[in-house]
Amino acid sequence: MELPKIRQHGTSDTGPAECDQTGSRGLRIEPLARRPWWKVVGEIDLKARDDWDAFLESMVATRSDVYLDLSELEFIDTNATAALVRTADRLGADRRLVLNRPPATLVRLLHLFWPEAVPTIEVQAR
Amino acid sequence: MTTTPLSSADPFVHPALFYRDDAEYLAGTVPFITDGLHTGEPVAVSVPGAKLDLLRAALGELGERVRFLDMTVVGRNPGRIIPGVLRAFADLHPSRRVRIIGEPIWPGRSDAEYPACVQHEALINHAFTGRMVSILCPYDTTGLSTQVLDDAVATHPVLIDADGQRDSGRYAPDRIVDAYNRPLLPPPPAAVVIPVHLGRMSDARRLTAEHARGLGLTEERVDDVLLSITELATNSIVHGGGAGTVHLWAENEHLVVQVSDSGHITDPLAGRIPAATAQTGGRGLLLVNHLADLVRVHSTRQGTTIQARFRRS
Repeated sequence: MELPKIRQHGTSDTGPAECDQTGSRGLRIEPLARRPWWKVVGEIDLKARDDWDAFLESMVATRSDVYLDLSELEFIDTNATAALVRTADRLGADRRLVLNRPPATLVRLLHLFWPEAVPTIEVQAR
Repeated sequence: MTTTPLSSADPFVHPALFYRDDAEYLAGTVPFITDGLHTGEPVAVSVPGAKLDLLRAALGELGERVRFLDMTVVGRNPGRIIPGVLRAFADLHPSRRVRIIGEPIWPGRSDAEYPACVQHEALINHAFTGRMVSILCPYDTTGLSTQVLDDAVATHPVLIDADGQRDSGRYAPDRIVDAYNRPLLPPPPAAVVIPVHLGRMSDARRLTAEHARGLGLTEERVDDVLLSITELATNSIVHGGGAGTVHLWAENEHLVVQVSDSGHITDPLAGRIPAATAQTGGRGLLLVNHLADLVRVHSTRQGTTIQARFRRS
């Protein structure tokens, strides 16, 4: 499978993608060895919005199920959660959106604003 | 009573009920509930706990068909009442009239809460224009001030008391919304100040989390504060001139989060209307209203300041 091209926030030439010059942790998305899982690391807010939307767009385009490991996602805002809901909707009934260990706040936002979408998104707690 | 509008084509009905004691309370509320139940209209009652007990006892078995909610819990933040209580219930029954008793103002409301309460009462009228909804708002004339009762005359088109029902005559909800759009008390000198722009959102969350944990907030409550500060700062960046200023301080039992920017909120219903499922944005202030214990807004052409309070325990 051809992997979608992912831009990265928070990376630098000299070190790990922990901090940029302002101390922000940024967003990093990388394919895992256990394909087709993707690991989403860091924070998704306004700063990472375009990258997050582009990544989800690329996932929709793969025509496969979407597996996201969110165990190291430290923060996600309502807009980014809305984008996830929209992705689940665009995948339709035939394709799965599976989240591994999403942050508690993401699950709370789903139940608060998109209760009808909760059954369409599979959550693994392992 | 009050099942149909008095004098206009608008199907929305919003009377204030002025009561002096429990007997007048029951005389004004029980028929409103039972009339609704008899015609098959869904009924919800959101009033302070002691009044819930009073109504439950008076209704007996009929009460099983009523949705009871403690307003001091679900409506602690007045900005949450329209989206989280009133619209939440009305939207469950879009094709038929629903009846709701909502008592958002009681004698224990603080000076900090009252402006948000009275603006809420005024904005109900805009939020439900055209809807088949009846919302009866009881006011305790023994325990509330003259000013509060006077404001209720302006926020309700129809008034009911022991003598009967009449048009308000001084109905002017927009005047109330404007009159209570007042400057907020400035942060204390010891407040933590965090300028926010696109590159500093993460820092702002980290500093806020440290501060909130230091004040004893639980991890779940810290999450609420971080979500709120992020949404408010995002609004400042997108709508408020590209940047904002966060102030954090402790005030009695609350952590206060204040975000100021140079934007102007022109829609007074911002943050009070449930967002359509397919709508991507527009949930920022709505989320803060859902999470915080009190949200106050002051917005003019010169700028906007929003205060959100979170109870420390």
